Amino acid sequence: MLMIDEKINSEGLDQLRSRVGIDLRIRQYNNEASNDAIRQFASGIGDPNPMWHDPGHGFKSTRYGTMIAPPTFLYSVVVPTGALAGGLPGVHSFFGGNEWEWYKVIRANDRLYAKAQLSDVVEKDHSEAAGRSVIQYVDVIYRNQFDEEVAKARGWAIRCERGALRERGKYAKISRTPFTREQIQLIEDTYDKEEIRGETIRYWNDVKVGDEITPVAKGPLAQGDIQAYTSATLPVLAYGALQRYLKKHPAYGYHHPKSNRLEPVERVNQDDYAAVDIGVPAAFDYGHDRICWIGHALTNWMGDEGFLKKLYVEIRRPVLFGDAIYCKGKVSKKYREGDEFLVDIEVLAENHRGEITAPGQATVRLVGKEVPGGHSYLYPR
Amino acid sequence: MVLEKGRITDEGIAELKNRIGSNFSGDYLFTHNKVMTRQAIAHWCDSIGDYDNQLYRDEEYAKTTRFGNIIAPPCSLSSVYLITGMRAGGLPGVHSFHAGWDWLWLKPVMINDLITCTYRPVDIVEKVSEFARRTVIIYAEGVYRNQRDETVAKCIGWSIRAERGAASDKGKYREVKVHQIDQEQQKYIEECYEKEEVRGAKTRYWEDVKAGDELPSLIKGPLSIGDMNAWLGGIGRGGQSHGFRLSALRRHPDWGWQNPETGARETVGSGVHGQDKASKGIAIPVAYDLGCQRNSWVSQVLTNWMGDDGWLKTLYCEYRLFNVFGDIQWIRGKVTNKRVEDGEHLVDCEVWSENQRGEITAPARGTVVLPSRSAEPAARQINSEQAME
Repeated sequence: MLMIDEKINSEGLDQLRSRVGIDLRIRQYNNEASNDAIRQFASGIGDPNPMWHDPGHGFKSTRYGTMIAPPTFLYSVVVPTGALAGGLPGVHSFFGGNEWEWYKVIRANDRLYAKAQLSDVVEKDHSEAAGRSVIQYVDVIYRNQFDEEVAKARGWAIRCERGALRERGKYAKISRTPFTREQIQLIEDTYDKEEIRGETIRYWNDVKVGDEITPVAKGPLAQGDIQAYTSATLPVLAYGALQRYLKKHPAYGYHHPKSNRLEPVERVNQDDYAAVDIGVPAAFDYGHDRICWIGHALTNWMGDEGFLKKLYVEIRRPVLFGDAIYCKGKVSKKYREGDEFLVDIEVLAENHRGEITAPGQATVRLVGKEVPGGHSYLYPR
Repeated sequence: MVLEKGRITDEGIAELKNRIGSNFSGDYLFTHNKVMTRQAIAHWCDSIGDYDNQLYRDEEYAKTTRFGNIIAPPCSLSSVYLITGMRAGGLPGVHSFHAGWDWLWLKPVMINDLITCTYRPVDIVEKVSEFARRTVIIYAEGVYRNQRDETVAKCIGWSIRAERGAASDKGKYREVKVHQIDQEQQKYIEECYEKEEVRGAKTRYWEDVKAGDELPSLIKGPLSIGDMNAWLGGIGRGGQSHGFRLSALRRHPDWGWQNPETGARETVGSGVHGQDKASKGIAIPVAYDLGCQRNSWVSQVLTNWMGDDGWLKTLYCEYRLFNVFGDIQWIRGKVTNKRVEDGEHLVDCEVWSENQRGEITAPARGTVVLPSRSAEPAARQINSEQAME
């Protein structure tokens, strides 16, 4: 056992609950959506959409007249997760999911400010993976330099006792069989068939319930993917910052079995030893990275003039190193609300074994043909 | 074996020699930062663990310095483009070890400067090495320019190309053991981190320095994947994720290796610098660092020591030994010489990175321009806008 295994107890819970409603101390990674930061983020999640790479594209193809950022760019400002609230030292924290609502487009060079509060702590008697568990909810509001709300996100973390995770080993039985030739072909074909709608407007009128969005492939997950994502999105605990942090929060550290050096628990996303210690057979992805992948599939489909209004995703199972992922979606509802032309889409991230690792729903605003000039209306900022 | 094993052939060398002098620029180079924004500079500083130098971070503070605003640290130009011999390409399947940097800095890079880089291979030299029989050293030059087309810095970077098979046969590093740290050492490391000293606003005058002076040392490590992540946050690793990786590996199959545990095709870079199972493919039992990262630590010793009024003019660093996961590096330095040249008051320093085995893994020498009590500061140390007024 590498990591500290503390029990969920009532004092810890009371202490955690006392943080409800106060502004949490957070560390932003990006403070502005510079052209570079947008391109770096898109590269980190493996999204080749020219909108996020070429400032000229946004200038000529959209009403915004500038490069804009993918909606999920806000993960690089701060990841909205229940873990922002801390608490319960020595009890593991799994990223549980996010519920997003976006109000404004993020334009190049916008400054972004985030505020986070713990909103709720809910005890769960029994979870399949870990017995007793606690879910903590954090709400994050993102504002820009005009003090406009750009987006709101609710994130939750599932806190489980590590001993129980090891014992139950829910994921330990996952077989990691090497890929078959067909599977590799399917991954590569999906990459090749990726369809970026771009400047071709997808009109609301042309969409039907049951339409499928072109799937996006990710992986097979490797160290390079995790590093690409962290290098563009997350503050990294290293050097003196790591030593200082672990001195203050010893329960967040473990000694690496190979060199005895101190590592932070977040290394479960890169270090097999750490992952095995919490009952997962190999290092696994960041759940929020996966939500970005789903965002990639949606922005591909909706095109430059579409607007992702809402996205809800639950992270149900880890994506292990070596897993391939397909992000898919299907239109479930088409409706008008006020002057908005909306579609709801059932989304999911499925691994190459056919297991659904993250289901969710999205709401996308499209352009309606009814209005003269082809655009339903302009969305002024 | 996990990694591809290409051979160094006469044809391969001849082909590579053809590339000498040709310029690589524009979109052809993978550029991480184009504009040195405040956050780009801060991310780069984080990437080497330089947390306390306010000249690179705090606008209000930087206004009080002679630069008049935040400047980018010298080696942060590596976040625009990283000069190694590797970019010259050629010799597929032959490993490339970045082996050194030789920098010359001419003008400050101010916050929000737009920096471009041109790259050209300048020399190719054959050598027989202890590590891997026939080897080739490729030297390349990078020239960094700002939005006014002023050359701000030049860098020669070189890489050693060695056959992976030969490296495995010779097995020079077969005996490398992972260092085990104990509690006492852990405590010592923590203390060293706490003791880091940044000269900052306290001007260090040339007159007050003498040969033999020791520079305050820095500690880095024990090396872990977290330090690698940090460094990649500074210089970028975006081009290697998901679909980008697939298309890169289709163009250059020899950049890839198949992870035996997962079956995934990965890039050699993310392998040898993070996963023992990949570095074993080139006869190094433990994953190792990127030399340019160590070089940047070396530069931090100098910038910490010289203060806001100093100017790092040149830095030459060779990466002689691997820094493997678990290793601790002390970056130490001392003043070797003082001189006045072309009106500049110069201090030559010897800096080196030393591991817990007492081995010098990266020797370096740097020259710092310090202010003199008897002379005006050099023009480049004044904000160019002020200079125009």
